[in-house]
Amino acid sequence: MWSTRSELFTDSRRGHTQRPVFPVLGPPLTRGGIRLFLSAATALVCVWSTPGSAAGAEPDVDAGTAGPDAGAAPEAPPPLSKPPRLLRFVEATTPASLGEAGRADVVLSIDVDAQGKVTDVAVVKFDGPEASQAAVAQAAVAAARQFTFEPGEAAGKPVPVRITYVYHFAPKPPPAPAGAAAPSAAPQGGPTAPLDGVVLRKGDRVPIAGVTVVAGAARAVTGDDGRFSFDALPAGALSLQLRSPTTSPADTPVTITPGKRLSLTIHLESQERYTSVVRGRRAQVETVEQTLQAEEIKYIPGTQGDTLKAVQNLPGVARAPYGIGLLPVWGSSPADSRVYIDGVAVPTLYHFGGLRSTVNSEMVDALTFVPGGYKADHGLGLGGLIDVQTRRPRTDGFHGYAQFDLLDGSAMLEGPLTKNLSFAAALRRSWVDQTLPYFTSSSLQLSPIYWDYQARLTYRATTRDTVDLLLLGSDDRLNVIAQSSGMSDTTAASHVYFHRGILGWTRRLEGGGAFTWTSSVGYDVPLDLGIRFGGTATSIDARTLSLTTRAVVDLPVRPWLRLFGGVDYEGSRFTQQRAGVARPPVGGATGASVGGFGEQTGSFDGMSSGYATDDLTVYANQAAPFVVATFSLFGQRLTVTPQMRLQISAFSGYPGEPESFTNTHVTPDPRFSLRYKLTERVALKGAVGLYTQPPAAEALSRVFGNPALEPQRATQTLAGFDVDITTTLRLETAAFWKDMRNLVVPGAAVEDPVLVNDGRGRAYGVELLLRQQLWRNVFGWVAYTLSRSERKDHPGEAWHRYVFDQTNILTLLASYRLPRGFQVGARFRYVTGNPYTPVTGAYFDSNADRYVPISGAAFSARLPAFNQLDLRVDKIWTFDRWRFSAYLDLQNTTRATNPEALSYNFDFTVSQPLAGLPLLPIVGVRGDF
Amino acid sequence: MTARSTLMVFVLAFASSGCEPDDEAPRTLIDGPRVLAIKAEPPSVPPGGSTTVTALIVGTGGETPSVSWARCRLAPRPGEAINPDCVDTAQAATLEPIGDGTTITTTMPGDVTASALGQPDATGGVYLTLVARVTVAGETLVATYRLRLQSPGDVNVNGNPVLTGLLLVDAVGVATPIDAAAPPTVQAGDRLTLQVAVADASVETYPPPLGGAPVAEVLRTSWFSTAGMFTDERSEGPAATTVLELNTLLPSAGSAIDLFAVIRDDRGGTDYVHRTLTFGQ
Repeated sequence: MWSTRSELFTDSRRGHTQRPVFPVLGPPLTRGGIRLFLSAATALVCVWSTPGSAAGAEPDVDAGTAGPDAGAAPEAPPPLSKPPRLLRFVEATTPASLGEAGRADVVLSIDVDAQGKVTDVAVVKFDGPEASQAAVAQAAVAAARQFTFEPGEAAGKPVPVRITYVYHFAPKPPPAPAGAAAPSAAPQGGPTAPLDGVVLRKGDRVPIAGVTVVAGAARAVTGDDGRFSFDALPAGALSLQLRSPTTSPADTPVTITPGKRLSLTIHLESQERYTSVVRGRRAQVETVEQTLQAEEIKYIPGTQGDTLKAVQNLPGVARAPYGIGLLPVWGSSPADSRVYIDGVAVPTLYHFGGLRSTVNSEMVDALTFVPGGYKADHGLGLGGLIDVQTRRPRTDGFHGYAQFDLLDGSAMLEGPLTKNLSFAAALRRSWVDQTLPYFTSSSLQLSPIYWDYQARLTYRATTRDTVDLLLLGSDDRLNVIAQSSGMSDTTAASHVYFHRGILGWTRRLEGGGAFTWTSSVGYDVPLDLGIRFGGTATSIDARTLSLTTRAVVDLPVRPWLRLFGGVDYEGSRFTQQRAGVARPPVGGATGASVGGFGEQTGSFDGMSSGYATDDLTVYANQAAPFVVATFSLFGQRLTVTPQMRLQISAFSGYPGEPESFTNTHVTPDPRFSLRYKLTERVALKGAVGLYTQPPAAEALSRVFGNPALEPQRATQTLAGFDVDITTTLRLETAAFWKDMRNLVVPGAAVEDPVLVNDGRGRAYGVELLLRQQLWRNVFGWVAYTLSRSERKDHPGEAWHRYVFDQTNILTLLASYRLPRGFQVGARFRYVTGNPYTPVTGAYFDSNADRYVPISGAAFSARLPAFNQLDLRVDKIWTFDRWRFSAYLDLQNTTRATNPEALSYNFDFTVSQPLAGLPLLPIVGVRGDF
Repeated sequence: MTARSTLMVFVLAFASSGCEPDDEAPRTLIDGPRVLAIKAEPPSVPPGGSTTVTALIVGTGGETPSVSWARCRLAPRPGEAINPDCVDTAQAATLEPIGDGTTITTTMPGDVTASALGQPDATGGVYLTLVARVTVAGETLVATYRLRLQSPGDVNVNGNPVLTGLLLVDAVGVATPIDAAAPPTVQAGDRLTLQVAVADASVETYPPPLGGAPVAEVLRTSWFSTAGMFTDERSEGPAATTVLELNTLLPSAGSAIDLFAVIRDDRGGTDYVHRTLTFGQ
């Protein structure tokens, strides 16, 4: 749902007098004959695409058709890297009805295809004499249809773009008196000197195109690289006047010395500070999806500028206790949703506790969140998917930033190495372990330490081929010391991390198609946990070595048919050494309550049944060919997309041992989606499909799991509608139903395996998102979800609420840009309390010397509702070569005491709620260059 | 559930288990009827063997508690100490009554097998669950004791640790037994260092179920009193100590302060000792 408006270019050819959009200077218009007049400085580009990059003026692009709801390209369109450039201008025939002194402006919407041809022209607005409107508009349209362009580009390939173009009809100025000098030439016979320069935006030094530079009687306009030049200016003092619609007016005094070239670098204040302003709509890829652009959402309160935390504010996402960063989506387990970075799955999006995402926000170009019903090019999960696309490094010089706040410090550097090779590198390290003690009790010490890194190289091998190398990793250490008088010497330590190396090749094909190959290697330690209670140790040490490959072809076969298909492969070697008891997974398909805790040392003390050790090795190979066919019918009003994914999963465990096993599962996953444009502003949508999630490798343990586990399955159905209320205000709704089968749950009877496929699940609800893209300095959204999620653990048992069942989830957030570099924002959230299993009594276990709760009906009680108001204030100071900003992010401004869990006394006769974090101020400073 | 979700909940549960409601009386304070321990002599019994089981019930205000015993042969599932149906009143049919009274003699069923009692715990033991329902002072308390099954060929059969007394350690480290017949007098503000007196050979060793060198039992002592607060509610080792601080929760002058120490090993062995103090001013 994004597009970008930006100034494009100026056209000083064909003798047309250049007129700036805002006529604040220059000679007064003279009367005379009327000629069509084009002021290229007023050209506006309005495109349909994904959001552009954070700091650059990279308008969005529609990689599919020019229609707003085409949904043709399954992959999210990359940002526009190069706007269309007018190659052939055609002068319109001035209608007689306009008159000699008449003037008019015709705003046109022009569709430019990937070959640079104009495919459609529509009149958006007319400003002029009403009597001549029809004729003038017709003349402008007729001329524009004959324009030819150099096509716009995104990710190195031409893409169709829709632009907004203003055709000016103005009286032709009278011819210059005989002997008068050309505008850019010096008076005849006088001393002269050349002058050239470059105009850059203050703060981030981005070249600004389309700036009119007036030097006396001479004029020039900056090109795409921000450069301008005058061949010969009269010697002496001169005032350079710089004017453009997107910059503040500036006058620069210069002195021209005869025979000496003068070169200038001028920094202008941009009136649109963050030029990745988003308006309009991108081509919808999934039936229900939201794409967030980095620049817009990094000012959301409560996120500390972390782009990826914004996904927690979208509809369909339940809130985890203490906001610890788990993402339960549409009633599914957090484990059922998949996170991708540039198409490669990673174990987690957030550092431990949800404090910060594992990918630096400045490396992120866009984040696409699909709560369910996603297309066949993805699989292996019953929940949603979060697809993070990193951006390519900037090539317009070296840029970077450094930031420090209460949580951590981070920095980034990017720029060109050669003409075709560019790089970006980012690093972050926490120090929250030093600041957190001020917000926790002396009896409970948490020491989370995290760091992450990303490094990217982009190489444009040819005009059609781009190669990207991305290295990234994340590391979390956590030490917990609980000094309750009820326990002796209780400590826990964990160290989890992952690393990835991703190599990608994109080739633009003839006819507008593309081929993409992505391979990765990875090493994960998803769980390295050690807990010692007294003399008994419980430990889990798990590691994964992974190799993935994805090959995808995107082919426009016919104007009404597009094929997208390929193969997805994920292979891994999983090892786990574990000692302890096989405790049922909490928060999983059934799960004990996470809402109540007491002296539940449980399996930590070694007195529970089933203490064992296991040394597990599992080789997993998962391959899935897929095909997505998109039919655009009835003038692209109806888009029908049948799809098929054939998921093949092969597991072999304990190789070389007597208990080795090999299991192979082949599951076809047919899916179908459609979209129908009821009107230009209203579209209906629907999807249905089968989804498969193979068992996790650790669940195949013969000691703590079950090697015979089968894949979990789900049928997902959704329907809804979208309304473009305005070009920047959009309403999206969806109703969903998920039926889950074969869920992995603990065995019911003693003789059952530890884990079995007996579980059933169902989740249903409605959600809406009313979203205002950046418009007149305001952006924000209202997200609401009404839903129910239930589970049934074994045949014959009753349904019960799921641990993350939250009936109402409401998020209101808005941000407003004030003058003088200030920006303020607020976020309010209301969430139904999490269910928990109530305690109806307790008995005393003499062997363990502790009371054990007797539970009531599973998840039959609820914590009180959660509500929180967060505020944020940013102040930005812009200097010529860099930018400094400071922010204050206040979480829980009203100091609401939201119960996150229940705490019980030693015999479970008294309980009291455990509140979440109180008022938490995060102060940060940042420098960009 | 992913490994990361497991880790999240481990830490949440772990961290929260250190959180207790504010202003609640400590677990060491005896201010009403409670079952502090159940002791079986012997604590490890072969099929058909008998044992004498005693419940230590305190805080009854002088009233004689009514205790009914039952055994439950339902095996726990992995991760459970006992099968929850053993304490579910709706599952009364699963319980076999075995006697009434604070002390009873019961037998391990002759037909019981190790596999029928579930999977072994960290010490390699399987257990028969005994359930005691105590009715006193208008309250009903439920307590369980897991009687270890002695299997043929078991080495290092478990025995109860033996508490011979309770010691009062003075400022210079001299430990003096607290005379049960002549309780010492204490004052408000006193800090009393207490130490258990454990008989030799109470610390036993046993072979770990998964192989390796013999493991020495860890003796854990739980402390209880009718007044004051302990610096350590539980202590470890054969010379476990704690400090009773008489700054709060004080009785009236001249009252007796009851002290209890309950010692346990890893395999169900239990013993306890009771002493009193006289509270002066």
